[in-house]
Amino acid sequence: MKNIINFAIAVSLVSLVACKSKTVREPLVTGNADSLKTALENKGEKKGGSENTGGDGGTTEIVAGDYTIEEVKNGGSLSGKVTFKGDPSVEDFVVVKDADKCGVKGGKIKSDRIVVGPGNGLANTWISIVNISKGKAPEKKDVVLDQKGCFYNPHIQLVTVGAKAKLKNSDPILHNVHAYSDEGKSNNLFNEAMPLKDQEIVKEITQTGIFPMVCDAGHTWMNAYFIGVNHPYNALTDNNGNFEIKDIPPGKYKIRAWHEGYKIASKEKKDNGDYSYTFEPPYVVEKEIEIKPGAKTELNFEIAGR
Amino acid sequence: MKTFFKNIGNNIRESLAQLGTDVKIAMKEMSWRNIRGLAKDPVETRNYATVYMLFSGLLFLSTVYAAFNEFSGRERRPWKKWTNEYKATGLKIADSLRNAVEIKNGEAFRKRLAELESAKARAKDSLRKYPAYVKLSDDYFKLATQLREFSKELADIKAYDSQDYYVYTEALKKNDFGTANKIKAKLDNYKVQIEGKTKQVEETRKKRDEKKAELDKYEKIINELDAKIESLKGKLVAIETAKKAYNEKKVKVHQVIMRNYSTNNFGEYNMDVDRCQSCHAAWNDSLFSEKYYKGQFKEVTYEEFAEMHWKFHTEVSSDEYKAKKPEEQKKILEEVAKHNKGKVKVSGNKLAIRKDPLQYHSPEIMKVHNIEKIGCTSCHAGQGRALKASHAHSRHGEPDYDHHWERPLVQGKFVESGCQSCHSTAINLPMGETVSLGKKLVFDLGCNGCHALPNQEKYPVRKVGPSLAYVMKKDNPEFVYNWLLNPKDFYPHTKMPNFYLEEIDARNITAFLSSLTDKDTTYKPLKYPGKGDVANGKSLTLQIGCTGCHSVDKVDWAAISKTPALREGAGFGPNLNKVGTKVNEDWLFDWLINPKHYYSETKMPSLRLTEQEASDITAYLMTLKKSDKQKFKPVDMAALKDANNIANGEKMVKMLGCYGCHNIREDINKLTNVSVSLTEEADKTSHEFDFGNTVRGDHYNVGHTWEGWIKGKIRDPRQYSTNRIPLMMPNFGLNETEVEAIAVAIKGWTNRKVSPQYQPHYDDLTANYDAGQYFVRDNNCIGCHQIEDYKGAYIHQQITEPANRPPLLTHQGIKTQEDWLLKFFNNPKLDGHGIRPWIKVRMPSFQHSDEEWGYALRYFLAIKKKHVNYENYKNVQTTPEKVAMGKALFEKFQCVSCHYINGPSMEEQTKAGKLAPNLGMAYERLKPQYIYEWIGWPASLMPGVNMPNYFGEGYTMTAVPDSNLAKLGMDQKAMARYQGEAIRDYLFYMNNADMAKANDKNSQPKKQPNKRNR
Repeated sequence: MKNIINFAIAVSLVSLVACKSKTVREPLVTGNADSLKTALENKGEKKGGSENTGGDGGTTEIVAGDYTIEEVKNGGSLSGKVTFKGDPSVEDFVVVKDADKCGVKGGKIKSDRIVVGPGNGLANTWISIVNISKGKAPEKKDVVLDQKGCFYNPHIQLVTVGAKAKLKNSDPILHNVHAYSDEGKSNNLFNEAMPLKDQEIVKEITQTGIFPMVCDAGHTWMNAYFIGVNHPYNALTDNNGNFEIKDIPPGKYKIRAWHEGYKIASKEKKDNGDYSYTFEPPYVVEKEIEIKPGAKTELNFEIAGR
Repeated sequence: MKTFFKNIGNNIRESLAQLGTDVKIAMKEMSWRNIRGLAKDPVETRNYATVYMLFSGLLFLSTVYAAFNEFSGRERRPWKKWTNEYKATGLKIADSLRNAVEIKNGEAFRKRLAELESAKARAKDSLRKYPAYVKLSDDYFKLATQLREFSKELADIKAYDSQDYYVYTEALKKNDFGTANKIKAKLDNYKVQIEGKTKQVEETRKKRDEKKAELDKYEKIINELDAKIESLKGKLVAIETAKKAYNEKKVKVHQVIMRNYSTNNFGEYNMDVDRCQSCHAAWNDSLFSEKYYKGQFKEVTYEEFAEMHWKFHTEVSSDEYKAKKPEEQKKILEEVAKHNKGKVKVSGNKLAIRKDPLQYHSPEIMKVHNIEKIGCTSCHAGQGRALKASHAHSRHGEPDYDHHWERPLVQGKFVESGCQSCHSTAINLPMGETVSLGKKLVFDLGCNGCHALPNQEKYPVRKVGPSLAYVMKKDNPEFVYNWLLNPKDFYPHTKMPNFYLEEIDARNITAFLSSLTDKDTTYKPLKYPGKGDVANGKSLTLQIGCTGCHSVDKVDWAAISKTPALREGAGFGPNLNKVGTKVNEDWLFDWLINPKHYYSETKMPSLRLTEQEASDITAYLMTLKKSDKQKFKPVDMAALKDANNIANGEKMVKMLGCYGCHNIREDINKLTNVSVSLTEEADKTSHEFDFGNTVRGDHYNVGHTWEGWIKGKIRDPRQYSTNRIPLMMPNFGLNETEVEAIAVAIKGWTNRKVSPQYQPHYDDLTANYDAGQYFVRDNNCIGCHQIEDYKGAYIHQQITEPANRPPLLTHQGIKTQEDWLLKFFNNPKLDGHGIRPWIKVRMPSFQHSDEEWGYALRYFLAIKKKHVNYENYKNVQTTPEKVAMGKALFEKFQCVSCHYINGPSMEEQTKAGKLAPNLGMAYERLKPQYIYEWIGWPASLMPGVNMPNYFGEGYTMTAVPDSNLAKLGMDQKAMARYQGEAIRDYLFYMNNADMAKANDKNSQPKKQPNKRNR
């Protein structure tokens, strides 16, 4: 009897906690009953809609961790450019497998870990506001990772927690997407084989973090990143190195620029002429800045090659 | 009123006067002279009413007092207070929780509840107005009614049918064919009708179910809302239930009666009773966990605290404390509070100690132990029957403790010592970390060399040291002499303890060992050819797996482990960093080629080194010498030849018991243990220990207790030595964690046996498991392999590529076929090709007998709760079509991108970079079910493996849907499972012609395709 009570209490406490931190609730009307949704909405009631069933419209909602969603009024914006200083040239990767199918000539392939555009703009750099704790709701946008010509495309993508990532193979050869849940590549996030052309697999990203992905099927140069985020104040730089983040609640923030690093730190030759590579650690630059209401703030980063 | 009192006064006065006279007369009559004359003067004539009155009054008063004392419970029932306290506190906590739900969040709570309810009402309302839903529910009810009618009709027809069938059979019995024929026609008609109706019923039912499913989709929303409302209200209900339980809790002695639980001092089972729960009422109530209940504390000064040595351990005496500055005092208080977390807090410049018994027991261990059966004292000891805290705990020195109770309450980690009463052979208990560490250390340090240990016969125990029969062919006299003086000087973490030898004794022992070597003719080491490449030797040493056992170069066991005396991982073998000083090169070369040549019982396996490899490693290891700073004492070489010295050396060897750990000489090896048996050490009381000259108040020997003496003995064995009784035990140089762990293990070694009915079921599996765990430690399999939750496989950190690491062995029992595994153990290179020939670390050749390997095989099976069976794994039932499907999938999935099937030699395979096992040997190596599970989700069996998922995570999807399988009614998952089986069957089929033939003949075409083959 005692145990049952304890269990009941434990359950109640868990749900109590769950109640306190009202997570973003699923829409009331889902899936197959779309027509009902319309029917409900047609009633014209203010709180009868799909999003406000819980009745907390306008009150604070916690998404994940310590980020709180609230309406941003008169937010500022942040834009700028990331430039690269140094020598971006990097040694080509040796290709010993599937050279013809990957469209490789001469047994070498160029690295896609660094892309420097006009005016030394550094592409594929992740800009994020590190210490933001509240702001607008993140957009759950699904992403697609294509494997084409033995490269991952796009190379780096932001994925909001809860959004789906579609993996796609456009090559007629075996690839696998071996994603790790940490930068050190010690734990798996998932590892999916994609032996068929035009095969698609959908994975849901359920945690925040940097998830490097590699192909173990003999394509040592293939690598890409998913970055799991829980708030919308993240951006990736375009090919010119530019970025923009909007609707930031005014305040002082720490802004971080992260680039994966491109130089080969060490390589070990395998018996088949291929190499196993280790890369330099990522570049991280952090800056403090104040965002003023309704104003445009500019912030530039410079990443210096090691 | 006045007169009333006056009257009473008078009455009393009169009564007293009367009493005086009566007593006088009675005294007179009671005297011996008068009793003799009783017959003349009968006692009945006297009136004793007043005396009776007095005594009955006394009796009445004492009864009232007894009742009062009983029910007030101050003196006789101290536990009552705590039961009441428990009830009151429980109610208080529950109330505060309810307030947290209702009042603190009151507005939000009520709002949310109201909104949910209104949303539900709205949803219901709008559903009713929604035409599609109304039509659907109408249809559903129509169909349901129809179904009921059809079913009734069907039942009716069936009833008529059976009635007529009876008449028909009766008619046949009477040979009345006319009637029979008539009824036969009727029956045929019924048959048709029944078939028709059945079909109708089935169809209607199907339609109805479809409608129901559709309806559910609409009503899902309402159901979900309902669930939410219920869960919201449920919290309050749960709290109310809890409150009720507190109110109803009875104030009584809560006891566990354990009949025939354990043996007493005479070896008979007797009854134990535990009443601990009477005061410790909150042990299983999670509301009393630290989160909600902080406990009651009382303040004490440090002086008082330091006096409570039965409960708390203090490093600083109260005098020392007083002499310190206030800041330092504060620090000491904080240190004490940190050490006794949960029991002691700092309160200003005083300490606060917890005084209530309402602690919550950590729940993990309760999940696997039934306290209602085994009570509390089986782990915590103490006097279970006693209902007074001081008697129940009976800790030595506690005020009012029971001096005669032999098993006082155990403190801290010593609780784990009790694990051994039931888990007598286990050495790796997941929830008994300290006791497991202690048991491991006891075996690793070779305590069995000098002491008898409990259950020793259940493990394959060996001598822990190397053979000394011809030691000078390995070492040199100078080294041996200096080593004997203090081995820890040379290697701080060596297993060999310090015997504190006098120089002359060390010299004599060296002389004796030299004489043994001189006489020996059996061992002649190979000659070191002398062409070793130091650089290559180094890279070999660091790559082929030496570092799985030995510390060398940057691999430093002592840095990895908090307990360097524990012989696991890289600390298993000796440190090699000064080996060049220790051994000579011929011996080393010979040892590397075949370790068993020098000592047949050594644990060092062969790594199948070629002569060149062995030379290279020899060359490298010989460069590792001691630094010049470390000076050796010179040894008098002439004195080593002196017969007198040799004889004295032999005497020392026998006296110190060197033969307990080393092979020395036939006759010496047979001598008995030099020291006492420890099998019943825990039964000794502190009165039976000789504390020597150590004084009371020494902080290490807290209050002269059992724990204090044993810990002191392990920490510094000679500290109890006196001039009259010199002690021999050497010093093992252990750290405090190790000392405590060993003491905890010894605390469980008692002659008190727990009755089998209270023990976990000890069967073959447990025996196999425990012996296997010992075996994998004893051979240091865990130095390279991860097995279960053993904290091993330190070599993994040295190999960057996960695919090149020694494999995980947790699933070995379901992975490989037993006869293949045995073949592999005996010949790890598998006649030249191996499984993964490209990896540099080598599986050694242990040269064990099949019986010894049996420990490992049975252990791997026991991990998976399997007994040894003699299954023919090659008998996989399949069909040629399925195999063909497997082949097609195999090609489609491009498995050959990483795997070879048979194909070229292993060297070529390595060159081609296909770094996955050759599947040509899968059918003789792997168990069919394992292949199936592996294909389904490789990373679940081996985390971090490069092999990707082809069917989602555990056959959840397939990338190649098969229309033929879909026609058989398979969904995605069933299809994925079938395809997984097909691939497995292909792997089994392709190299195994016999099997294919046999199964083709026996193939069963009607077999259900989605059933798993066994």
